[in-house]
Amino acid sequence: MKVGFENDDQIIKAIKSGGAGRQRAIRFLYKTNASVMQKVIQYVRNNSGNEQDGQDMFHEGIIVLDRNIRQDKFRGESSLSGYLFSICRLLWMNQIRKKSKTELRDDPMTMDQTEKINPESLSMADEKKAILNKVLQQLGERCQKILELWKLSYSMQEIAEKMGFSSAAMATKNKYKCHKSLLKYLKEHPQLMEYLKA
Amino acid sequence: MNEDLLYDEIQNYLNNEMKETERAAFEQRLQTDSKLQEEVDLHRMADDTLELLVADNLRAELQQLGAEEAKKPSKKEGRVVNFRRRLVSISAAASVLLLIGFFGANFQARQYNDGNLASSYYQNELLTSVRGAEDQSLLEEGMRLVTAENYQEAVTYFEQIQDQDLVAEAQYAAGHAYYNLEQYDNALSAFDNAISSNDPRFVKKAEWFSLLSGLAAGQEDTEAFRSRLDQLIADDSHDFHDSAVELNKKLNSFWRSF
Repeated sequence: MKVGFENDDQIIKAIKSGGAGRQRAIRFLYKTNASVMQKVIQYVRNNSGNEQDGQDMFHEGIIVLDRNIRQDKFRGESSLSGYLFSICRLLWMNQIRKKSKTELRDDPMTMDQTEKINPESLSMADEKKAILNKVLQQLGERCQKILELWKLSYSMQEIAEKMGFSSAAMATKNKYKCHKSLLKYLKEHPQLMEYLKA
Repeated sequence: MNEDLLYDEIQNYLNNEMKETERAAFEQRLQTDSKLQEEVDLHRMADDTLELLVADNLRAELQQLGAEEAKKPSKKEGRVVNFRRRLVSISAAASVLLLIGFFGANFQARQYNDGNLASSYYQNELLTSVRGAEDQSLLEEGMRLVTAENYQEAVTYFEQIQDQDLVAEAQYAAGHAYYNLEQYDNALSAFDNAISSNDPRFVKKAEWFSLLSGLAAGQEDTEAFRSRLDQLIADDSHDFHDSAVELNKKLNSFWRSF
């Protein structure tokens, strides 16, 4: 069975179409970009990070790449590998900036612009993650799964099969219910979203 | 309006599934109807939340994949990318990303010094290219050295190239090598040479990187720098027009005065 992709366009198409094709495309991207991962690790090491940081940045880069492709933000003006490397480099650059922002928190010149976080424990990412978990917990695991599949462009028929609904119509009904309950929760807790938007 | 209908309407709007006339009418309503605005914002926030869920799950999958790959014996990748082709195709998307990252995260006075500002915009396209070993020209040799981050030796190859067909590319590459060596004056003159050789593949990019080299070299207040910047700002068809406009804004930023 042919599992490979011949060019960037095929990978992009598969990611946009969602479902199992997206998963295959992401695995393919991961496996065929070992040299990009090495370059990212090298870059991070040269800029005050270690190998693990580099690998994490590579993973974060794939996450951003996946999202940008799904949201039509990648316009194909460079190769996917080049784009991925640029994303990883930028993510690391931002991480370094955040760190220096934390270190500079007591500087009176910058104090007003410094975010009020506890530098020992929480990075912004962790804080967002905690809030996100709080929001998602309200949904329950089943709703989370349905909404994630929907977000990833699985068809209602596929969602029905995966989640054990009797029909696509039942999947649609449940998706609607879950999404409405997420909207309701957000509406009732505007302060949480302020954090998420920050 | 019926709640279900409103829900569908907002989803269609956010998923770009409206006809143009429908969309225009919807946007008109959005201007005046604050309740509708609020609802659309909520849908957007829900989308953001689900994106975070997707990211979280993908992160876990990638970690697992990384662990699986680490167990396998390593395979050397032999992918060779034609450098010349890569140089010609401008990575505008990556530039946009750089801008987003730069303006999104950078709120501190001390980050706005010229060196940091230049390096925030600068991206070394050479590092993202790997050239094959089949070509024995000086240019190829220089590129191999760049890939190995041996910029000092790389420039000695680039600077020897006299061939009219290659000189623009060689000088453009030399500019990047000098930039990485933090020899910004040399970078500036190499990019200027690339501009003078008038090769349409490199002129616009060389103009932008020449500007960044000038900034990194501390020439921000010179007339030459201003005139280069103004030229890019005035030419709205220039590939780096938007970047130049944003750079100008940052250069005039209040925080830089600290």
